[in-house]
Amino acid sequence: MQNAYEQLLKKLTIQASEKNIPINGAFELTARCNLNCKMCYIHHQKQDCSITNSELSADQWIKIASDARDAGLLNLIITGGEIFLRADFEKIYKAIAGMGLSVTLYTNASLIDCNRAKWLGRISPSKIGITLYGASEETYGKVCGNPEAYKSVIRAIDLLIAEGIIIDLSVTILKDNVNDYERIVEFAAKRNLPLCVTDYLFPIRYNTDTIKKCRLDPRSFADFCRKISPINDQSLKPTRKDLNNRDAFLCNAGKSDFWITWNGHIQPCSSLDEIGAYPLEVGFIEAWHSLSKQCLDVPICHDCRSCEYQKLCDVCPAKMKAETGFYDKPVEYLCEMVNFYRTV
Amino acid sequence: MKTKANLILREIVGTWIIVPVGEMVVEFNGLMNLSESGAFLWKKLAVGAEVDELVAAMLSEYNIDEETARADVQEFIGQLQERGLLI
Repeated sequence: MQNAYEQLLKKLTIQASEKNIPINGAFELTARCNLNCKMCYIHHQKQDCSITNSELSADQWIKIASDARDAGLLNLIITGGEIFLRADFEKIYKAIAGMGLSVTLYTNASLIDCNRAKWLGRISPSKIGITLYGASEETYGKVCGNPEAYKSVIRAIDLLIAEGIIIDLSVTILKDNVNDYERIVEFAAKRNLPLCVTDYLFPIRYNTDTIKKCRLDPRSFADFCRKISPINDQSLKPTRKDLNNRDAFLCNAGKSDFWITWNGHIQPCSSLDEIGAYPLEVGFIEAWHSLSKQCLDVPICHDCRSCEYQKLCDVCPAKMKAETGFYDKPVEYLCEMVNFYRTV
Repeated sequence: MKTKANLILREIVGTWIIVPVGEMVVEFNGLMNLSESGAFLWKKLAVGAEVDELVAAMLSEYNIDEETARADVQEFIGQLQERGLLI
């Protein structure tokens, strides 16, 4: 059951999508992270000068935010890498938080101490999204290369709750942490926090071989999906709005949603970096329209569109491109998973 | 009568909404949508208009009688007070 706020957001997004207004966006402030998660596509060393030299400056992010707001942006995700690694994070966030946007921060939370939690309580985002990588120091060590981070994250979550900040938890499932899943669910339930599960990892942008090695095999993926189905039914069975849609993207990428990478590239989502433009070179509006047009040129995968099990599958052009090199070639891994899922 | 600080009125795809920022996010986390006349009244309240001024503004802007205008103003103010958006 959706509350009035969610209903309003949904209505606005549908209207924005129809009118091609960029109402939902994400800024990837940095490609650096203090953790070193093996499956992550964006975790350069925190002192990597080649990255810091190419990251947009605070003033550039603020300028893009202002232009995007004027173009209709309402919901903004600020993410990384790890956002709190940026020394100028407070400058960026303070400026953007006053623009009349609904801001969500994505973080691993390991750098949130008491002072930072209090500061966030004074200039609160609408929400903080925190990804959990396990339910123990041991698992954090295996997944993120940093066992100590586990305790820091748990402490940070409790500090943020004390500040009255709304938190959404998420968990990315891979071989190394799938056995922690029940304990993560318990942790979230104990604090009455929603938990979103990312159970499909695909090889995006770089780090592709490692991602394939550390994700669940198709059968284990199907088993896991069947296990959590009652908890997260929606992610298992995405509702396709219009299967006869002539657009390759069944999501809102390029219609109302965009993503801007740490070096200033606007693209449909975090996963698809071959399509897009540079707002700082051509202006936000022109970059947005260019992105929208390029999305319309992406070919439809007719095999997937006509597949009778499509409703069980979460495939999209970004995932097909990442897995196969083509926008319109079925992903064998997902086909296998769906076959196990529907028959096991 | 005035709207609280850190509440921003925006028009998004033809819908008027109130977006909280800063400290107001903890107090009022969400969005509130307003009708066209609600947005009109909000702009007056943002600069500290009293009830009689709001009624007069409604009468000059919309083709309605005073009784209806006053009832609409009172109802709108009641909704904002209920959500703690006025000082």
